[in-house]
Amino acid sequence: MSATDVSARATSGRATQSRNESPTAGSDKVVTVVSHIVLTIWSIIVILPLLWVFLSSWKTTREIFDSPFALPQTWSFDNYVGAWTDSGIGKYMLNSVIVVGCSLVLVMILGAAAAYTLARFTFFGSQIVYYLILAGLTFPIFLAIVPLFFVLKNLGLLNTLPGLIATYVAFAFPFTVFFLYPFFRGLPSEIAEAAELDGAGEWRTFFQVMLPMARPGIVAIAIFNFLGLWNQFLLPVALNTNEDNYVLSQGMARFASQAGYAVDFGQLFAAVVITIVPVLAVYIFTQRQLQGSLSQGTMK
Amino acid sequence: MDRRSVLRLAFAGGVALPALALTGCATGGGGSETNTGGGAAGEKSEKNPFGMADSGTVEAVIFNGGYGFDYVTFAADVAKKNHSGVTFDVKPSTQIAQELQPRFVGGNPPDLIDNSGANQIGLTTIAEQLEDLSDVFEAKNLEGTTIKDTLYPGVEAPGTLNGKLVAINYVQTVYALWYSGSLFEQNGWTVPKTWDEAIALGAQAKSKGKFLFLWGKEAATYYQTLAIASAIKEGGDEVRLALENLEEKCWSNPAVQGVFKAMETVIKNGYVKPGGGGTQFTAAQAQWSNGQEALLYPSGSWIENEMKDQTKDGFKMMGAPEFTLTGNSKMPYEALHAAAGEPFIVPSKSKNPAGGKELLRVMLSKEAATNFAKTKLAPTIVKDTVPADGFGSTALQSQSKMLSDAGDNVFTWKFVDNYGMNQDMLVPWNAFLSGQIDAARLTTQLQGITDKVRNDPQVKKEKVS
Amino acid sequence: MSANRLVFILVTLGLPFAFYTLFVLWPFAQAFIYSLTNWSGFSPNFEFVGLSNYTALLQNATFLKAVRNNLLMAVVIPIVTIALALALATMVTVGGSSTGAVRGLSRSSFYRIVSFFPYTIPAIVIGLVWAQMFDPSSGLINGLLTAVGLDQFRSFAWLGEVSTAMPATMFVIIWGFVGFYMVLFIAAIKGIPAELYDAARVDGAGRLRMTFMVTIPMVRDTIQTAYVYLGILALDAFVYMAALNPSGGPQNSTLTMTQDLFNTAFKKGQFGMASAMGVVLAVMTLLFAAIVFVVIRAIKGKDNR
Repeated sequence: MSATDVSARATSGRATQSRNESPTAGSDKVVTVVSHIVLTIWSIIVILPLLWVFLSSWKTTREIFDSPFALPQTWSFDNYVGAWTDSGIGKYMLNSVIVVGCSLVLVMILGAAAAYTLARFTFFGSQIVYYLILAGLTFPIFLAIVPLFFVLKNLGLLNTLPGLIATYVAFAFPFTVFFLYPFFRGLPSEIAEAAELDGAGEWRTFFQVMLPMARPGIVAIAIFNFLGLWNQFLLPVALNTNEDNYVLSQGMARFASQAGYAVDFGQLFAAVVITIVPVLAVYIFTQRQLQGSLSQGTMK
Repeated sequence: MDRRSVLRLAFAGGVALPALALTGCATGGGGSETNTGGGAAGEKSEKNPFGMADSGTVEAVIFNGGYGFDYVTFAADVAKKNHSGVTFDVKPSTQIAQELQPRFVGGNPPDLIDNSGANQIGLTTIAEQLEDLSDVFEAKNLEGTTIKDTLYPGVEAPGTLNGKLVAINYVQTVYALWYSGSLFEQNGWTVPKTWDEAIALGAQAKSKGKFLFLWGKEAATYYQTLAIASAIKEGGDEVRLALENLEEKCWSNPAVQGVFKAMETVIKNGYVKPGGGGTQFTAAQAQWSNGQEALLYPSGSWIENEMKDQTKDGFKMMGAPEFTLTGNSKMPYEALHAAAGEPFIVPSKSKNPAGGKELLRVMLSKEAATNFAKTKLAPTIVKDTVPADGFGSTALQSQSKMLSDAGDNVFTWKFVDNYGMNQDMLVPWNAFLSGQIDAARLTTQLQGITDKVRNDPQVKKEKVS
Repeated sequence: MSANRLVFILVTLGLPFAFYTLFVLWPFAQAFIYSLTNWSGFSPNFEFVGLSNYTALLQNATFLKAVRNNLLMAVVIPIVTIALALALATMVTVGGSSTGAVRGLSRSSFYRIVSFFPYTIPAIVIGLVWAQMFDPSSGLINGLLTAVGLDQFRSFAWLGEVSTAMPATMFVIIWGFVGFYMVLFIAAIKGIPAELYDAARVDGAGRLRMTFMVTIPMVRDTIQTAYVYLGILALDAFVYMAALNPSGGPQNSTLTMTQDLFNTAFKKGQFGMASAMGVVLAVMTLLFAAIVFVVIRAIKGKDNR
């Protein structure tokens, strides 16, 4: 079943549920109004900063300081052009896409395989392996930074995109296993056994039977992982110091840098908008599927 | 975290030494010609004083901050003319410590490093792994003059650690109070010379709806720099030495206390723009250079370059020496807090330390130094590279004037930077400037930070005299 | 176990696990060893100093302050985020004008989509945006407050006053996560069988009671996951701090362990000490997760679920 099916089912399920029964208390109306008010206030709290950032992104730095709340005097693309080229946001975004894309594919394959094997087979040491993977979830990345340095250096991967991808995969791995494990556990083992009786080997059983069945969960975890990796900050800051290989969060951190040198606030806001818009657009276009996957994916 | 650290540079200071002692120091440290590094050595000669091999590579990693790294590329191109067989590889970096740390541990650092920026490597941690650079000062420049004779006084002090010249700081920085020449002219204000005059000016500013000072949270310790300089001018060398050697009660010296009290008055009278503790320092500085909300800003001379895009037209940025406390201070009002910044180091274990030194020698020659002053609007430690018109910059002009007025009365200090104390000191300074604590609490907290370093056996101390 | 199966296990689990060991477990093990040394991080050699880094940490007022800040965040951020997310999710799903099973509010998808926005923004950018929002002079917050006549907020330094720096910082983190958990809770609430609500209604339960009797018990697993994740996040929080208050905030009131660790390692050149800080942080994180699991399991056991 596809994610679309899931979301369709979720919505149709909703439709049948929301039939009117006995319209009782007038307190319902109050609840509705209060709900709308509260939700509207929250929506404003969410949108207002973003709107302000958007407006500021069209101003010159001088305007931002002189009249921070006025509309921009002219709608010029200078800040955007500057942010894209001078501040290198365009280059960083490409790097981010490469790194996050590759890491995501790899970690989903490795994570799903490991989670499946852990969930389906019990063998000597499988519990220990499971707990060691879980432990990785709670370790602060900080602690590993320095030794990780030398691991990458010895492999010749320091300051390279493949090195960053490898690290991303390794650090997203426990999270992926942790969430996919209950998924595979939840799948009836009779199916796998039946597949084997039909003569399917371990590999075919996994790829053609079990993996498709776990699809909603995999989609949900992939979305989690995408956002997590897209936001990753510390790993690239410490392990990827070659400016040509900067990813987006590093590029943005330059603006936040405590020792920022001649920060151009107009460009800063433009860079923020450039950073937000693509992901936001993808989200808005896919939010139905996301919602479906989430409801399906988190029910386990 | 990868930008030029003006904050660190603010304290990339050196020991204040009278000019006489300085010359002595340079001579005393000279003459060490040992090439401890690896790599094939070439013939030593007038044109190749360090015996760099005539083939191979010189690798330089340059902090890519406010000054960029093209000035080193420029020098490398000049060097290339004399050593056509050598490849010069100049690489920019924004995170010196993180990037070079494994190379130091692994024993293959580059041949020349501009160890600057927010993530610079603490000099004391690597001092033992660095070449003594006094032979660079002893060498002749490309024009044939001995390099040390072409420099401003005191330039070797910041890079000298326990008598060894481990770093050559390339850029001359003057610490001053910066103001808008045009604004002062319009209002008929004069630049205060003592804290009392400053307080009086504060009252005038207030009547015009302006403030005397403002600050940003990451740069609150610029006011510590101002306070220490004022106190040293007032109380003389003993104030500086007490601080440098982290002595007990060094912050309770009457000169320091007098300055703190004066500052407390300024703050209590509302002459400091509130909210600095929550303002990014570049935004705060723009409120001074563009908004003209405050009259004076204490900073190093990089301020002009740093704010060049956010300075009001016709601002006419000028600098004045930091105030004394009273009219009869131990040092004259013209005494100047100046220090060289951008420390260049040559690791002993690099493949080609002689090559690193050779590149430094070229950088200290007239052609490269003049190129730097012209393109960066800042003087290097090489004298007489800035023409009278300061390449059209009023700030650069006043900087040259302050340096010549000061003569030999030039001082600085380096304990804050050496022991990495700035981070901790920002805390009480932000609190003090925003009026959350008074001068007494400020003193206690600064003393606490100082005592902690003094009593930490893991921290190697440097005795300053 | 057949040879085929053995190969399968080795490839599907052995390979990723070996990779994980090299990149995650091994560095952590090394960090623990470094924490017992006086390594500066730059020299090729170091000495073992036993547990002295740890004993020094116990007397390090700045670090202890950071620990307290982190603990406060680990308690407040998850509770507020979850409570707010759950409240909003409940309003969206059951706030409708009907007494039917669960009736969504009209325009509910609008609220849902908008609330999720912050989660699509990288944390560092969230920090940057709010650092500008809180700017005393040109920030939108003070702009709005002074516009409605609250003049005491002119130039008020939200991130520069001891009393407001931490709440403002926590607000930013909460702002970034409420929408995500709200969407998660909406999904969970929609999965609750309608009969449960019907049964509760037959018992005469009002909306509030229904929320506590039906909704919260049914989404407890989601709450548990959310709590652990938000807690771990609050124990780190480095990214937000790097943008909001890189120097630790007024009187160190927003200094976190991770910031102290970073400064100690890279600015003070004390990698041994920094590693010890990291180990303390790891232990605290593990303890935190364990406590949450134990508490939730205890409640579950009581309910016989």
